[in-house]
Amino acid sequence: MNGGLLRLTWRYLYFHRARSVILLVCLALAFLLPVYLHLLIRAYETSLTQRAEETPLVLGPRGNEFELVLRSLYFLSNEGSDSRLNLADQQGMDAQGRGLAIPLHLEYTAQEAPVIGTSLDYFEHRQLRAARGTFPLVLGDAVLGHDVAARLDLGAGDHVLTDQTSLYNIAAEQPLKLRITGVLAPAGTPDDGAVFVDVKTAWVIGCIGHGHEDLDSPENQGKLLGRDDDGSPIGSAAVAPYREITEANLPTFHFHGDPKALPLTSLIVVPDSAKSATILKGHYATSETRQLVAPRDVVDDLLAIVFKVKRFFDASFGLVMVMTVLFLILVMTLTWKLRQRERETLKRIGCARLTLVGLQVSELILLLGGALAVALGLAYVLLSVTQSFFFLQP
Amino acid sequence: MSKAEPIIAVSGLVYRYPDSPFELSLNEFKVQRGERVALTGPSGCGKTTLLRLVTGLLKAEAGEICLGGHKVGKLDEAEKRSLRITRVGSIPQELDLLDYLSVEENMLLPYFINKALALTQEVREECGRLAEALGLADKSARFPHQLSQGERQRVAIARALITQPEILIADEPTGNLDGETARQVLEQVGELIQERETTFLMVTHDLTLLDFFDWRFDLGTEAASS
Repeated sequence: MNGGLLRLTWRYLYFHRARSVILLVCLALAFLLPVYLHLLIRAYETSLTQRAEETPLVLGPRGNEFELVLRSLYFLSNEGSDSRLNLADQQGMDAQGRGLAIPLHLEYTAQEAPVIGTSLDYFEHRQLRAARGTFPLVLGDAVLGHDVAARLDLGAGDHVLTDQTSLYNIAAEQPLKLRITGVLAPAGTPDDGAVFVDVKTAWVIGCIGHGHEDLDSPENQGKLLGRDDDGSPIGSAAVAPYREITEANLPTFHFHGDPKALPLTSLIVVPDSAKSATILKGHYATSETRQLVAPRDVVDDLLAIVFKVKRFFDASFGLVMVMTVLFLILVMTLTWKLRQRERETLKRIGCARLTLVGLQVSELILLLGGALAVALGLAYVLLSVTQSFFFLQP
Repeated sequence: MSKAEPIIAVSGLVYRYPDSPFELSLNEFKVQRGERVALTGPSGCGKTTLLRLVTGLLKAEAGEICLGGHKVGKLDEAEKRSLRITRVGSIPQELDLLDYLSVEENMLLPYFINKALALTQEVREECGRLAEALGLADKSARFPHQLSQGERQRVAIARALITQPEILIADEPTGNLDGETARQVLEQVGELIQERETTFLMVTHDLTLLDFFDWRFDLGTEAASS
């Protein structure tokens, strides 16, 4: 397409700008939906597969594998689920010596952000770094994901309260005041929307571990009712439990019961070799209560369903595109007839037949290109607005 | 081509429109270089047809047409087009400016649509000179619908002259103008073609304009048309 031809085309479209804009908008709208859906699914696919690929294996209770993977990768709430892992599973995994087992405890929230009980290995595995402060090293410490910190306007040195688990049950766990030790750098993943604590802190939030007034001290003797078989003191209801872990009361925190039974939601397993991964999969393949899944495989199954639905939409869009093309042919045919005299003039002053066709084609190309550009721009705007609704967020 | 050789030479011409009883037969018609010739005759005698045959837009059934030393009947489409671009300036009967181009762009139109013509700074300067000469200098940014009939005709003339053709062919360019304006326009054209030594062949019905031409060719009496 030479410059003169392009100039004529542009001047024609500009002179008849109202008509050109209407035509461009019609075409752009026809392109918009398929382009938007394509971008949305691609972004969805990228987002899902990337995180799944970064998570080699997940161990969880046997049941719905989609639920297990989505919960472990995207921190969807574990509320209402009775089946859990426990510390013994992690110890069993550690004992096999075939890789790293990172605990995940997902039951509580703080200011509506999921509280993730885990270990320092999690930060290393996800390559998360603290933009400010440090990772949670001590019971009661918390580090905030980038988005949570921004939303709550909190930073290192501030405090955040966990959410009450039941508003109507005064005997339920009371909120625990967490001390913020750091804020994570933005990662563009669900980690940005979470609050991270040590797994022991998660157990304290659930009142599995607790701290209270020292019943052995002379001033609290009146609150001591007696001692159980193993010598532990039995306190009266007047004993005040601590809902904030401070340097002073930290030593009083402890866990009752069998440590092996302490609950976990799942374990992220990072095998040290392909062979170890195969052995571990084999080990859990026959378990009736546990399942070890590869998130990438699960996500691929999930995406297969999404693509099936997309094919249906593609067929619908195909029909719309056929309609659009017919509409465009009609418009171009009418334009061709309307511009008969103009073509005669151009021919008389030496315009080649091919150039005359080129004029019409360049007009079509400019309109289609413009419509596609507008559709793409709109699709990206829509994508940025709507992806928070469609994408898995904590 | 020698100086004495006619720039337009038609002999033994026969043309018939398909599906029409019209037939144009012309034994001889010659125009010398630099001449101003008025082509007259009653409506329907074939004046416009003759111009279209001379410029190769129509193909004669018989006879020979020479334009600037080239036998038009022997040229292929590309060669005829090249001839029209480089040697001939054409002012049509109907005003046919492109409504979406400004006055200046309409004048430069041949350069936008022909790769053979390069739009140089000299061409732009020539465009400015033509606009000045035709009284369009302050209207170059306007569009055709913002001009009077006479001004639009001047733009068509400027467009025909911008490529500095050897022959200017006009089909009743002043037909829609009043007598005074028609004469003004022709005088301006006359000045321009005189300094460029351009041959001028113009169809006209207005016999009051004949003093502007060197001679008149009356197709009604010279040709046998039916």
